[in-house]
Amino acid sequence: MLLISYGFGLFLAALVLLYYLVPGRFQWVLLLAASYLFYLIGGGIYILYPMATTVSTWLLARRIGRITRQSKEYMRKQEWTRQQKKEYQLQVKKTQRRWMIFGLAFNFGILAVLKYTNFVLGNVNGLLRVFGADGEFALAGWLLPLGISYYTFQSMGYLIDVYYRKYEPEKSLARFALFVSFFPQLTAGPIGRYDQMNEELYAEHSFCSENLRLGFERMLWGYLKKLVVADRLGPAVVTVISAPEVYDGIYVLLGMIGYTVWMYADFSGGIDIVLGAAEMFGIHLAENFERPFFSRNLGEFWRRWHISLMTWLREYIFYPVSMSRAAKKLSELTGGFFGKEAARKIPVYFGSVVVWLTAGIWHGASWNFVAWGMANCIVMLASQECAGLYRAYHKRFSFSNAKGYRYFEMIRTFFLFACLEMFEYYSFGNVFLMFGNMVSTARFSQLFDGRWSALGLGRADLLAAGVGILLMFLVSVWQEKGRHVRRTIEEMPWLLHYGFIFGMCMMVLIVGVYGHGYDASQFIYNQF
Amino acid sequence: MEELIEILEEINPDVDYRTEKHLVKSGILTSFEMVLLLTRISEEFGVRIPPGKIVPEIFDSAESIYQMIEELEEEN
Repeated sequence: MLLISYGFGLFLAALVLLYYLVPGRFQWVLLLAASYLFYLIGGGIYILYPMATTVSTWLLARRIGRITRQSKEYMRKQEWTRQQKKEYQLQVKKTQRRWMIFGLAFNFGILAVLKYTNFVLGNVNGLLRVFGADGEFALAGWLLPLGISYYTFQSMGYLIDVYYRKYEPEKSLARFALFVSFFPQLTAGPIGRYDQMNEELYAEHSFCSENLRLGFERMLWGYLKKLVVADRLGPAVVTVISAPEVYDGIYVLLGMIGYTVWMYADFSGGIDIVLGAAEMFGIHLAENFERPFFSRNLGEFWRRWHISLMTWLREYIFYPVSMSRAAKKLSELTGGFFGKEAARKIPVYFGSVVVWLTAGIWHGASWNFVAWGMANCIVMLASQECAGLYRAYHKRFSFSNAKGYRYFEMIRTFFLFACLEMFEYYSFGNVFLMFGNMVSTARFSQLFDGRWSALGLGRADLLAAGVGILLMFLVSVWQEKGRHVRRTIEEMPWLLHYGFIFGMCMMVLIVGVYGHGYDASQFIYNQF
Repeated sequence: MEELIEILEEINPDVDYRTEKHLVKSGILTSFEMVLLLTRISEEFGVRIPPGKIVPEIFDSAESIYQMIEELEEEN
């Protein structure tokens, strides 16, 4: 049972009904039972994996928390000098760090073995073939547990936070289990934070029709993005990007634009469904997108796209790595050769490379994603190097501060992102070949040479997807102006309000892609 | 406070740090500048800032950054 199925609709409706019927103190227990049932239906015996992560993380966090408490009490009883206190604290931190590292190694170890074994074996087999060896390693046949990257990152964020004493560890294993496995966000994120979720997750929620209405509307909006836009464009986009020998010239450009729009509609649509479903229970999960295509540069883009993952990487990898002893040593080493200015920047470069490498392999176990991560890293570092130049440019040319220039920057960022996405679907060499091919051979007339008709996108499809994209754009413009779209619609006259909802329902039901061969379960971001 | 303002001005001199209240939210302090800032704070004040404290609520203004430094100095 996945987010787009009749089963999910029935499951959610029944659960919402029960949720508001049971006494408030049992609501979170019901959510836990429902989350485990949801996982059992979707992932069967693989539920043992999130359970192992839940138990190990809870135990280790409790252990770390107990050491903090005991050490504080012990210190209070001692009449130590400041130096003695400092030495004791260092010792305590060292012990706690060992437990934390054990937890990280165990849980990221499971993720690494399950997700990357075949990638490693594939590369080893490739090397063996190069050196003329006869045999090769058989690839592992295991499946990836549902949502493993999401719940692993979420749990490990919690463990690190407890280690840094950001908050007290959760006392109840069952309550912690709900934090790890809360069903709406289990398969597509966002990666939640314990201190942002715990209050609403375990609170008693009395029936509130507004939550139900707003949640349903958010879900409807997500289904519209997914079924009307993403699933209509998806098959044509896949055809274009997977056959570069056929689809060259202007189709490379169409593939870039189509892939970007498809991915955004698919992923952000999925997140809308997740956030809407959670809202029905009075639980407000963190936003994962903030209109990324309104960004003026790539740095801003990555602060507005897949926010929960990028924030996680920044907080738990970028800062600790950039300020680590290894980064400092590297900085000292390079400072001797390249001077003080370079030494100052090396920790940032080091942290950026590690973050983008992680972001790349998080997205997929293939060299394509490694190349994608590195390409992003290079662009980000290059633009950082040019920061002074940009500042001087904006000071010198006043037109660059005009509103119109901002639109240019947004379009430039869109195309930059779309270009970088090419590393995901073309082989490394093909990215440059196809880009060159697009620049040198793209002609408008190529749209009428017969290749278009093979894509299966008729006028009706284009009209439906076009209306969906236009709606997405208008809603984004509205939100960008600081308006809460659903509340604004709610405040409209009754007939107009429900007319909107009815219109959206009709659009999803009539214009959405269903039927033979249709597999709505395949959200792009479900594979993580 | 003056010491902190000097550090911030080293990183980006074009900002009035006494009045600016959205250093992170408005993109003045990106993660790149943040690492430089954290390193310089650690060198000048001798405090190590834990990841949990690297949040916009603290780093949005020089005043709240300085308040956090004082708290960390006290803890030490």
